[in-house]
Order: sequence, then structure tokens, then C-alpha cells
Amino acid sequence: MSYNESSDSEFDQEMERALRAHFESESPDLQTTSDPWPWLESRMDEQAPPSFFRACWDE
Amino acid sequence: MTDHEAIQRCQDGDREAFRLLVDRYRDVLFGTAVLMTGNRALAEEQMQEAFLSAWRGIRGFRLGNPFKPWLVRILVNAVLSQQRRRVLPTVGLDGSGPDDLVSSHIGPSSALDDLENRMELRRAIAGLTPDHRQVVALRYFTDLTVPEVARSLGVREGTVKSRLHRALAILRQQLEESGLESPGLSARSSTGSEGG
Repeated sequence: MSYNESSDSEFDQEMERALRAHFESESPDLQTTSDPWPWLESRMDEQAPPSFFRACWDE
Repeated sequence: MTDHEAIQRCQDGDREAFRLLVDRYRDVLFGTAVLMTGNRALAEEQMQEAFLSAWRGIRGFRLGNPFKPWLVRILVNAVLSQQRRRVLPTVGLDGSGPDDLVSSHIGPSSALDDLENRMELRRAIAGLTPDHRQVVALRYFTDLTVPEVARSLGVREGTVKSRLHRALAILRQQLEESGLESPGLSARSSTGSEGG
């Protein structure tokens, strides 16, 4: 995996490496065991309320 | 199919292309949500809601921009707004409590001699404040850049940097006090006085 490491040399790099290694080893436990698609597909035709998008993408 | 091609198709209403994006990003969204909320059931809900929001808003996505930060931002907004609406399960400083960050199962492939170190770091991460745990998760698990983390959380880059400095110092201190070493981590004196 390639990481976004370019601009963060100011941080404790040893801890950064330890955390990345930790999360990599934890990744099997951080995977979802259920397929979200059936739930999603059944709702994809529903309309969102007008205020919905402002809440999600308030640039 | 690249993200770019899939998104283009989604913008024309192609559901199969969206399914491909769901399969590609569901683990990163779920893992991010677990780390932010500490609750697997809630994380499942938030992941689903985030994907539904993404589908509803994908016509507004600017092609050429990276997709993952956009998607993660939707998830983070959903998690943060839910946290504002209700009290989420919290984790004690000793890592006790209902939080799945600590209590979730260890996979059978885990080496036994690594188990203690993994659990110690889990406990240390779970013991961080929500603000600190969120920046650690978004930076080192989700692999967003500092500016992307800042945009996702709706805070300034300086705030993210300050929280990261503090969180890393706290984690180092906790690991050193525990007497265990995380892989690649050597002992060092650390005051943890930066940021906050």
C-alpha cells in the first residue's frame, strides 16, 4: 500500500510507522462482514430531503 | 474499471458501476466508522447511509477530484451529526466498556506473540479522546492527508496537526508505560506537551 506521507515529517515518525503497521495488521478485523448492496439497492430510488445535500457537502 | 470511469457511469445512472465502487470502498468506510464510533453495528449503519448519500449526490461530484476523500467526508459528516444527536458508547481509559475497538475478535491468523502488543495499542487508541482518535484513524487507517482530514472534520489544518501531535505523544507515553513495544517503536523520552 502506498501512503500519503509527503508533508508530515514534523510528526513522530516512529509512532506513525507503528500506527500504520498496527492498522494494517488490524485490517481483517476492520472489514465489514455483510454486503451493504441489498440495503442500498432497495433505497436508491428514494428522494433525499432538500436539506440533505447541504448537510453532506458544505464546502 | 477506474474510479473515474465508474463515477462517470454512475453520473449517467449506472447502478452496476456504483456497486463496483461500493465493493471497492466498503471496507475503508466501515473500518473508519468502527474506529470513529467504536461500535460495529453503528458503523455498519453509517457506512450504508454514507453510500446512499454518495449515490444521491454523485452527479455533483467533480470528475478529476479524488473520490475517497469525498466519500470519507460524507461518512464523517454522518458520524459527527449522529454523535451530536445522541450519546455514543464510550471507552474507559483502561480500555474497558462496550467499545468494539477493544473487544472485537482477534483473527485466527494473528501470531500469539504479537497479540499482547496489538491489544495494548488497541487499548491505547481506544483510550484517546474522540477528537484524537478521529484524527489518528483518518490519518493512519483511512490514509487521508492532513488537509483532507481537516476538510473531513470541518476544522483547520493547524487543529489537525495539533491533535495528531498530542495523540501520538499520548500513545507513545502509554506504550512506554505499559512496558510493551509496538513493532518498530523504540523507547524515547516524550513529554507530549505539543498542541492540544
